[in-house]
Amino acid sequence: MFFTILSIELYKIFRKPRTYIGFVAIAIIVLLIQLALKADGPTWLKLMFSGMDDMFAIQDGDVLNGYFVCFLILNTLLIQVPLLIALVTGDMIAGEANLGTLRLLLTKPVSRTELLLAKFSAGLVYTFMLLVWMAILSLFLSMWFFGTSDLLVNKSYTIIQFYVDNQGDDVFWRYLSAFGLAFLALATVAALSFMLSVFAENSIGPIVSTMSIIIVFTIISTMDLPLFTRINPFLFTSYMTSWKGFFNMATDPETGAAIRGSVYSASALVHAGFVLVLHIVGFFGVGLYAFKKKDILS
Amino acid sequence: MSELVKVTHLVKHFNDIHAVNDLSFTVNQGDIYGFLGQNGAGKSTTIRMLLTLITPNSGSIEMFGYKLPYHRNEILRQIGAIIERPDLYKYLSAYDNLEMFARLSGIRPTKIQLMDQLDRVGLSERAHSKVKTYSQGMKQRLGIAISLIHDPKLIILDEPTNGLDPQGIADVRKMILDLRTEHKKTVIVSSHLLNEIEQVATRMIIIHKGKKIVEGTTEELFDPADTLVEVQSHDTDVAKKLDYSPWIGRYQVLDNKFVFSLHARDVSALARDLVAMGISLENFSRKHSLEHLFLKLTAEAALQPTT
Repeated sequence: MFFTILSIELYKIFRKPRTYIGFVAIAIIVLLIQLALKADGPTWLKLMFSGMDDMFAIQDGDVLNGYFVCFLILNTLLIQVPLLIALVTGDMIAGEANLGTLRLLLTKPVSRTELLLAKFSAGLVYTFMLLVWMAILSLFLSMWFFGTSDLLVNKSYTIIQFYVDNQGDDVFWRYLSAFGLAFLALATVAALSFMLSVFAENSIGPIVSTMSIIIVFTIISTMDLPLFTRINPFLFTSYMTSWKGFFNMATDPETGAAIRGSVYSASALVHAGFVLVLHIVGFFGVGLYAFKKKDILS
Repeated sequence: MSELVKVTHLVKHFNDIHAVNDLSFTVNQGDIYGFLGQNGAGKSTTIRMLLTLITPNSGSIEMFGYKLPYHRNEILRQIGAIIERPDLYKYLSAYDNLEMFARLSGIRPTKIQLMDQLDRVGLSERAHSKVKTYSQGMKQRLGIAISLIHDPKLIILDEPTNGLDPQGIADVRKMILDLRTEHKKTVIVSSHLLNEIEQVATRMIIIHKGKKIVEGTTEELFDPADTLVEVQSHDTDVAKKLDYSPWIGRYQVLDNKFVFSLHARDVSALARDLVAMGISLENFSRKHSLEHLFLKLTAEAALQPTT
């Protein structure tokens, strides 16, 4: 029965016009950035890397390649995507309560646990598809549009260079891993808005509440105050940009040279993934408990 | 007849409000069971508890020999329901809605079966139109098709005539009667339209402030000595003619209608006498005796001290 409900939920999600807002918004933003970089990219890059032209072994002009464009887009976009996620997952229970269809659904011989699990799984499939769409446009389209070369990343006023040379490509796997961790971060947002959706009777509340929580937590995560520093490790927003850790290479302690195929702190990435999964389970668990106890009065 | 639904000492309160208070009743197989009560009497809360939408604070519900909540799915598999208005997925077609809810009910009907079901409620020509383009009556018919698609034994209809025009109300009434006579279904129907219940119910319950006032068959509930007959005529001298008949003092004139209070066995004698007196009858009908009974019982219940 789970897969029957899941297929029905996916069918419902992809028949709703609001589902496509996210896909369209991402496409517009990515294409605009790509067009702008194609038109004025070299000028903008010269300004950005002024004085560092002779520090790297890559050809002039190759800095503006598909990998670099993708990194730029992800940096910009992964902050806005939670809203697009909440737009759908925040509507999954509250929207049905508002429509009145929730009571008809719950008079069917389907357990509440099974129904909620199937609905949440459908929300995760949507989140995954949105991320795949983002990957196709920002990574693969950029690779096709701008080509591939070394990736330069500016981190804490230091330029890090990732190699694409005769020893192979050291960048692509990092992107795949980064998208994997980004999926966990976005799934946490999906779980949060889904949980809030259980408590609401219309979808505006969960969507606005999710964004408010993210904004408040992000402010706490970014402000370097002692009190905030103590609670930061427990906030999921502290791990929203952990995917960038895949673009931080380990260095040889003796020579100081960057080690190909390595990451600076694999344990930090595993920890981030673990905390995000814990949040997903926690949010879903609270939502499930409340949903099973809930009297359907709508 | 076997008991299909057995509700015992059901209690539900929302904070300080006692929505349902020690309610017990039984519905037998083949009944059209009328559920009556004023707004806020606890009808919808009780129906929602039968459908597991609301959890009771205490009491027990047994249906088809199974107990709730332990055998929820076995019970719900045998029930079709419309609660208040049939809210459906407006962005999907009638066909999609029907197929979706059929699958959730545990069946996989063929395209022909789905179209047949839509044809039965007169929606086959609009099967692929989005529900948002439907009138309230069409939505109600689609809701009925959804509630029947899995061939349930028990149909629960909570205020099924809400928002319908007179033709729609007549259609629902006919459908309820057909469900019992042609399809051998048991129906629980709640409505604030007492005359609608009166025309279809074989047994009924009246509740007030969450408590049962009375339950029984139509024959058990109505006192034959308390029958009301409403007469309308174009004749201007009806009152004068009645003054010289045995019916003097046994009627009241309300809104140009003559309402007679008599024993049920005297109804045909009244009709015969009126015709013999040369009174042309525009209308001769039993007045809503259920309304009379309902108002009498709820007024009495309101005077009882609350426990």
